Amino acid sequence: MKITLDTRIYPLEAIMNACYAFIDRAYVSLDRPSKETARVDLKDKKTADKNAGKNLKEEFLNELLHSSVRYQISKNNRKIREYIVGRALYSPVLSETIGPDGGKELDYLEDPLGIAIPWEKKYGKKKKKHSAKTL
Amino acid sequence: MLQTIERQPLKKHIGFLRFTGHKKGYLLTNDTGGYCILSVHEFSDFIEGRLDTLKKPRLARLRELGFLADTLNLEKLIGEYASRRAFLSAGTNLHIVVITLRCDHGCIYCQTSSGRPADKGLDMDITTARQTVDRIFESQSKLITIEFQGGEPTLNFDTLRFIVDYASEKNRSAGKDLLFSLVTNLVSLNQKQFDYLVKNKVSICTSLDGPEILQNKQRIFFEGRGSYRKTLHWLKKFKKSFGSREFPHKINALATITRHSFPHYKKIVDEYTGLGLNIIHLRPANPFGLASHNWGKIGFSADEFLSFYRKTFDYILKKNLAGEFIAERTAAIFLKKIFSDIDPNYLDLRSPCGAGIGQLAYNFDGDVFSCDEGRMLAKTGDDAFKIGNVRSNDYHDFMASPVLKAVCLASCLDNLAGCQDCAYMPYCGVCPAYNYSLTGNIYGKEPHNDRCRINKGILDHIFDKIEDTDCAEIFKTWINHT
Repeated sequence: MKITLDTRIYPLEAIMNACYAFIDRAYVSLDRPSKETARVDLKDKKTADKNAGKNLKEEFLNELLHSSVRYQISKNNRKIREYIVGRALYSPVLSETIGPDGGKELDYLEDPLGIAIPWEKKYGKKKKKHSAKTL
Repeated sequence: MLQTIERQPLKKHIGFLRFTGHKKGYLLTNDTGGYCILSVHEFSDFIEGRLDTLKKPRLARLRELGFLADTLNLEKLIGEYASRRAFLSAGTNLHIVVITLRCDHGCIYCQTSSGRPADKGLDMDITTARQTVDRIFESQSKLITIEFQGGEPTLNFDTLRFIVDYASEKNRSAGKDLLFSLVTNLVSLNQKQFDYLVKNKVSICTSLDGPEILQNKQRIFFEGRGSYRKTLHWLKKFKKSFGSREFPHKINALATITRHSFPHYKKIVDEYTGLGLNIIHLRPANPFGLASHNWGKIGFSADEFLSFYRKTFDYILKKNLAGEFIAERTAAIFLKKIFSDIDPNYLDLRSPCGAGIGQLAYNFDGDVFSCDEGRMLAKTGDDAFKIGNVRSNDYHDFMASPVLKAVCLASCLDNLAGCQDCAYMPYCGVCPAYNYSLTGNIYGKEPHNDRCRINKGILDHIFDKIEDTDCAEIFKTWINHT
């Protein structure tokens, strides 16, 4: 059976997720007849049941709805999740360079750790003074 | 919900969550393992932003656990996430050393195919054992567990003794938390060996499938005799000797479940409680090795296993409600992840799985595998999971192995279709070696394989019970026994 879907309502990612959830029960193919539509072709692997096709379509549409909600929640929260995972797994330093809004990116010209400062400029005078004191 | 999606994009008040159907409506979970169960109406109100219609305690729980995007406690969530993934930087702590491939048993569900007791050339020699221990101590992990496996490891007791002595000596300067564990059927032990194991605090893990009739049907010597009585003789001795001594003196048993186990579910539990064993691990047999040849007789579908599991679980729960303490281990592992932010580090149920970065398996000939399942596969002639040899490679070579990287990637649930949006993802794990054995591909087709169906079924059952106050109290006592 063929189901034509409006991709302005159902994101392609959600359609593909819903298709994936059905691959144990149906042979699935996807087509894109126009820019704003996607067509899913489902063939039930068990054809003996007369109602199988109808149930399959209804269950697919429900799954698609769930997939769409999951996709939107995931999309809305992407940056905050990246921030949480980044802070949790890598380093507290990240929190100073990438804000929770995920918008501010590290600018190499800022050099917050002073890596680009020449050694002489950073420590040169101090060392001279220290050496004199030792002597 | 349908109207929301068709009219407008989802409102942004919702924090990240995954959801699935539940007998009361919907189960919501998030990345840090928090969960909340909502009725269908509550879920609808929540998704569509009618938060004022939700009861205050429900709204407070959603807020506290980070299901609402506008009131996130970021520092708390970051801490919880880091705690749940602490194993990532811990190093390899479980080192499985297969000191012989000889075995005196021909169990009907054996995942590998062991040699006979008199076979030659299947034992780890002392030189290989020394090099194995040297490699083990290259791991940066503070905790090192050396687990002896086989075959039947007690058939090569001299090598076991050498490894315990040499590793203990080496640890005097290394200062690691060193533990030994022996996976054994116990039947060929003698008193001298028993005394040595107790003295050196080698913890014991044995197989006890249930009552005598079942054990003797499944766990048999090559000539066909059952081994129940011999196993029980030593099991009781260890239990008596370890008694109330502190960790690591312990003896655990696991029950491998086949179709033959199904009618005996009560007797299996009674056998454990009768022996004073308060943890039972109901482990489904896998269709690999010798088991695959017998699968027609002993095999089962995921639904059949789950039907057995639910009955057994409910019987265990009933015993607990009557004041007896006994925990089911798989459930206890899941519950620890549900109720706490500490991952119990059970290597088959974490993301990424423990292959390489949590465990290494050293075969009798010095070959090193990413995991024991991969080592067993090599016995069938496929060394896809081999990552080196103790003679020619070191720990850093093992960690740099492309095989290990591929296995890690294939077990990161965040990357896997069918897992990344599953509500049970924070508690679950996949096994690339299982997938490879079944389909020839380390990437599994979740949720369409039996391992996934079984894990989901167990979690479904846990979450069906979790809102019952009495059950929840019992569950919380289980989490210390993982």
